[in-house]
Amino acid sequence: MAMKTEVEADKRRKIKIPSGGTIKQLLRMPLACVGLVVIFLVIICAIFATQIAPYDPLMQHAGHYLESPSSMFLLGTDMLGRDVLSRLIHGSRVALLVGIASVGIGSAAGVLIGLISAYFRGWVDTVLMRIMDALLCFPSLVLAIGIIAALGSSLINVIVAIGFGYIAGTARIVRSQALSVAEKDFVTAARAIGGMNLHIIARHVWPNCIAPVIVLSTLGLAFAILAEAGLSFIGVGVQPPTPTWGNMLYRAFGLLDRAPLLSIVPGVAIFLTVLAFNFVGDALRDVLDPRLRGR
Amino acid sequence: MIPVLIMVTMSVFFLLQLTGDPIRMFISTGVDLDAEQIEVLRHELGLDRSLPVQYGMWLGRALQGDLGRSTHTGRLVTDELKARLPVTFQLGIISWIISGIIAIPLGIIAAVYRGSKLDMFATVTAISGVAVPSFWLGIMLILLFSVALRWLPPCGWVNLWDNPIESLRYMAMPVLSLSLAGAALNMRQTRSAMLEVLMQDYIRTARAKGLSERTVIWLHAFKNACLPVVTQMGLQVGRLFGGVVIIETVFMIPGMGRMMVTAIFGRDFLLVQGGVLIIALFIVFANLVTDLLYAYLDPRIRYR
Repeated sequence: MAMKTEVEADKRRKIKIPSGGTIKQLLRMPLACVGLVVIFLVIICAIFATQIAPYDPLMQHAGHYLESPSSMFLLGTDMLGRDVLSRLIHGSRVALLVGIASVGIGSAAGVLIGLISAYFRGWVDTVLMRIMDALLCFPSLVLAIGIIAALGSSLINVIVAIGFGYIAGTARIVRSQALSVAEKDFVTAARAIGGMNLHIIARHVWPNCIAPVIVLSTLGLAFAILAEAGLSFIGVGVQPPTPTWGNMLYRAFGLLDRAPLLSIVPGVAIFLTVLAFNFVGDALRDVLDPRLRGR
Repeated sequence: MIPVLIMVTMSVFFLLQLTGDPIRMFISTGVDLDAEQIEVLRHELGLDRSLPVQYGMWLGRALQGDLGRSTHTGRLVTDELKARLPVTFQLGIISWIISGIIAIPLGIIAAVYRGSKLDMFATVTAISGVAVPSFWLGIMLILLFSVALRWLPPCGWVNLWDNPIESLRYMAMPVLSLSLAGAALNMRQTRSAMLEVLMQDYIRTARAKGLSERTVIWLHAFKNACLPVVTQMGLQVGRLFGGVVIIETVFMIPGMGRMMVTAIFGRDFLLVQGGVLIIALFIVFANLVTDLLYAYLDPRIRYR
């Protein structure tokens, strides 16, 4: 299998531990700065949604249906007379929440599996990696649809479903990184002085695996936001009335010929947010771990 | 290969366990059974046995083409799948080919003329292509080509064999929206692989001995840059089938994806399970082909 070549390439990989210098280097890259600014804005929108949004996103303004942008409704109103801008701002909450939570769960599980696999080797490694290989055979959206079909759709289930698809990739990268770290002299030394497994993994192996995980998570966030929007769009994601960018598109799709703006605006929001995370992720990778390029 | 197949089928089988009480997934909608009848059915389906036994029974039935019946239509899941599969595969495979045909030459040109306007254009497209949600791109295409220009039908499906020209008109927008993200990734991969190869000494040697630039690029450089591109194209298969599910909903295409989505709403779990299984098996197959291609392209892997 192709894994062998990967492992060899990984052995040559320089190991970097993220530090304050990383941020300085990032700030010197123009695209990364643009990305960071956009992400910062989205985070502000999500945290202070109620303060920033001009209206309650669920409030239906009677008599103002499908209005075009005006000074009263900056981005117009939807079919129920709700302010599109306010819904857009509130939609950032679900996008970020699902993104962060699913990537968090997925990474945590992936890191754990990867570390255990690499450190204990043998049958533990074989079994875990075969399971990961199998998981990789499910496109994450298809897996998510399967999980949601079984569990029903709710915020938590969407998070779990998206996060699940993210475990295998992380586990494999962490494993290959940890394998090369575990061979280093300082790990042998730690073993020689009688360090406990858990201690060695936590103090010596893991810190040297952080860099690829950070890169992967940033890019994973972009993907998770896309996935959430996709699931909401087909109606199995976070359910209305909670505004999400995906379900705004879902409701607007039927009115495409009458109110195209309703379909354009949420898409632009998704695009810019995902683009921003990609910018930062790419830049982080160039700084921390150039070997990951192209993954 | 075999362990992966076993794990894949196990995971799909496990999905049913996630539903809580699997028996409910076997009872047709609208049919009312009393507790005793449910117990009989449970016994008939083997749901009162231990999980490993159940898995064995399920796998045995699956191998014979029995994945249960749709609780909605009462038809066999395999029959439903058979009707939908060709549509999804036609869509997925054509998009996959297109994403390669556009991307690889563009990536090569971008690498050869590094820093040119074309390279800039290619890089910007590649970066933004990954960030556009494919279903939104689909919606925007409908807005442009169906609503504004009225050139293409907004939704629907015609089989390629029935009427090729009509079929292409229906397929144009779904294929374009599906292939953009893949094309973007393929292009980036091709470009960076080519850049790396073009810096090698043997390229300078090839040029120094007076080979034409075309020979150098295609025979010497691209052949060696192929490997990561093949990996990327292999990974694309999975990504595409994830996207197909949503794109089919946008364009109302009667494929497997839309079937699975409608099945979710109808609580028709076995249909979803069947769809997930088929897609995963196809990807196992695609991975196998990728690995074989690897060995073919890189003799070093063969002789290890």
